[in-house]
Amino acid sequence: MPRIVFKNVTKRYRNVVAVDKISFEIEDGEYVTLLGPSGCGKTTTLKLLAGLRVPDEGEIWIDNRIVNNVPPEDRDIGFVFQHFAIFPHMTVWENVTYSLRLKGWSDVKIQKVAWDALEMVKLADKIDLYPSQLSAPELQRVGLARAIAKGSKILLLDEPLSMLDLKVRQVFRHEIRKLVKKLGLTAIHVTHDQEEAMAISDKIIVMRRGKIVQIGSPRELYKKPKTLFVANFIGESNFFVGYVESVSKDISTIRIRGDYILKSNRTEFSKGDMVVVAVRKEKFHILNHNNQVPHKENVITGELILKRSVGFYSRLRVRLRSGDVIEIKISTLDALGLPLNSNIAFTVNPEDVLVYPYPKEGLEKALSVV
Amino acid sequence: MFRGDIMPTIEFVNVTKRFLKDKLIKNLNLVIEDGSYTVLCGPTGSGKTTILLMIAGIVKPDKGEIYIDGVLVNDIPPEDRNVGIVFETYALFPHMNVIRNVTYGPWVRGYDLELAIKNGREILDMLYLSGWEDAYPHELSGGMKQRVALARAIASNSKILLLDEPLGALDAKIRGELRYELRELVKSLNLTAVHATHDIEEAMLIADKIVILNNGIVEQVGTPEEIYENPKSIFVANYVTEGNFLEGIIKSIENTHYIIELRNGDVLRANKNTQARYSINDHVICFIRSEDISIKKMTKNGNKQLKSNSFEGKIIDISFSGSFTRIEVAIEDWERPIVVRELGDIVDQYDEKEKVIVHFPDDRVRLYKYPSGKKFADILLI
Repeated sequence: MPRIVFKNVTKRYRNVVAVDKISFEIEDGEYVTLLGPSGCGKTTTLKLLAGLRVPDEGEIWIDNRIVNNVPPEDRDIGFVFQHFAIFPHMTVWENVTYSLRLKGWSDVKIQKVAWDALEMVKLADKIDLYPSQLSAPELQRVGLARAIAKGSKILLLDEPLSMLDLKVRQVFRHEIRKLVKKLGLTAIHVTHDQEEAMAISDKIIVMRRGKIVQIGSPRELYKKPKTLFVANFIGESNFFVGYVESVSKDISTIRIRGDYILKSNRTEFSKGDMVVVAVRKEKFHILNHNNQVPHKENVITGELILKRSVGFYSRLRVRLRSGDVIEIKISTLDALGLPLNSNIAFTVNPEDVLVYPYPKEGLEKALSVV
Repeated sequence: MFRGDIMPTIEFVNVTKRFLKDKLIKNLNLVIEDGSYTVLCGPTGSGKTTILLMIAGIVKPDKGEIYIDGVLVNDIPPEDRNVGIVFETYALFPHMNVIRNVTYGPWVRGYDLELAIKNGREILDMLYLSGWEDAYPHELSGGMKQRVALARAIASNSKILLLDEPLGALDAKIRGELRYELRELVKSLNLTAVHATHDIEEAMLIADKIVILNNGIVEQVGTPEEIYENPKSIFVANYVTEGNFLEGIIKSIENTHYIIELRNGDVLRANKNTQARYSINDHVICFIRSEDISIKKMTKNGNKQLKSNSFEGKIIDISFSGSFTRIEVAIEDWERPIVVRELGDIVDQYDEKEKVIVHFPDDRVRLYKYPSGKKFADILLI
């Protein structure tokens, strides 16, 4: 079973630490994403796993054996590249069967696996075409077929969708996940696109500056981001600076800029602490006169300065008393009756008020995605 | 700054232009109004950039006429068109500081340098860049560099601002803020902006008008609302949202409804409102947006009396993208699963393999004529 383990793995390039003592485990059959901004170490991690880089310290295990010094060709791993890496002078069929022929497989066997792989990626009717006759998504399907044809149980995908149009990407990502699940593969997918990671992963490993900052399911990361960076990087949040006014057994009260009071379920703070409050843009509920107000607390008011619909939801920009502008996402139906430049009131549940100690490095640096 | 006293209209009349070897913009007719923020939206290779380059004068049409402010500009060189342009990659001069980058255009044209610097500082201030006048490009973040490029594009008093994927190279977080700044800037200076992007959400958030392009052809021009509520073609419907497309035949016609039989024999009802007219036996594609479909759990003793446009199915995939939940439901005998999207995180309410009922109101079923001679899978290719 292809279980993958990294134990305190470090990789340096000259003086730069690309990957700094990272440890994680990937179970058989999991779809795992390495997510982070560019330069965070995610691609180096993938290359270490593929055998294209050798770690300076630590151990990499695949299937209960240390593979630190095992060359890529002996690791039985399929690889899908960002830039497709398809031979332009070969047909789809030749591209997919090339490495199988090099391996010396019999014609019968090659016929079968290549055909299965091409059917799987829906290219069976295009096997005689050359890459120049294919669209970008089709080229990446060739890349996928080639990677799965040899039957490796581990599939590495390095930003496999980043060369494709957004719209294509949003559909293709679900196809890749389904393919991986159908074949029972273990997939490690590198991306900087958090929405992509959220949509398809069983588990996300969030990296920043060579270190792992959090590992969890998409919804764990969304609900309980451990740091301000994760709260900012995963999903979309508003941030407020404030002070803890009081803490009781299960509720803390925070006064934020503009003199609004927010109650939170997070109670690991003391009175007087300077904190940063994060609230997801879609966790606000509009209060209008028709609305039954379930609780009068956690009400924020401000001036509606912009309202744009993107179809099934709308984005509202609201200027608070402090002058700060926040953005909220609500259904387009709920947004319809709200006039621009009027005052609106909205509320947020205490469990959706996330609280963090004010970062020593300053808020901007703590949130920075570069 | 004196702007906005004469606001330009851009007009394409029967413009044809070959681009990217085998691509063709064919008989383009398009009016871009005074002071409007127009977004050209479509996939790679749809002709967005070529249209921008023709407005700028960098590329000439093969046939047809282009007018700016009523003046035929086909033979007017770029430098005389009063057009500013911003590209995806910032293209700043690395050896010049911010203010010199911004005032380069006016300086080349021999304008009063002191005035140009004063003007440049004002623009930098509007773009939250005051204090950075002496910095060099390598000292700036991606978002700042793109704002400098923007400042440079408008510093020559251009009335038309062309933006080619201006946010494409930026991180998602920075992109989110900068798109509003772009629109605010264009509006406050009364510019006419033409912005190319493949990101439909970006288009909907900033455009007055969206032009949907496909393969060199204008599929639809409209406000974001019109494009979303009333997509004129299958391509537009597919491009603006994640939808479900079902193949069927008009089986019968009632006063207010079309009755459509799907390939497996299941029947859909579609309200006639706003639909084109169809006849019995017409081959059609039914389009239902994923966000217009409701999903509910099966009750214990089954839901014997299903409303029309309700179908039993089984959840085969459920995921949460950070703003909405996406659920795929497999319905027996249907070739493709139905995709349902709901704002927020409702993943906990459902299990994979759970039996559910999906329903869509009959006024949310939009019909299109089946494109003859095409395989179903090819109809939705982008």
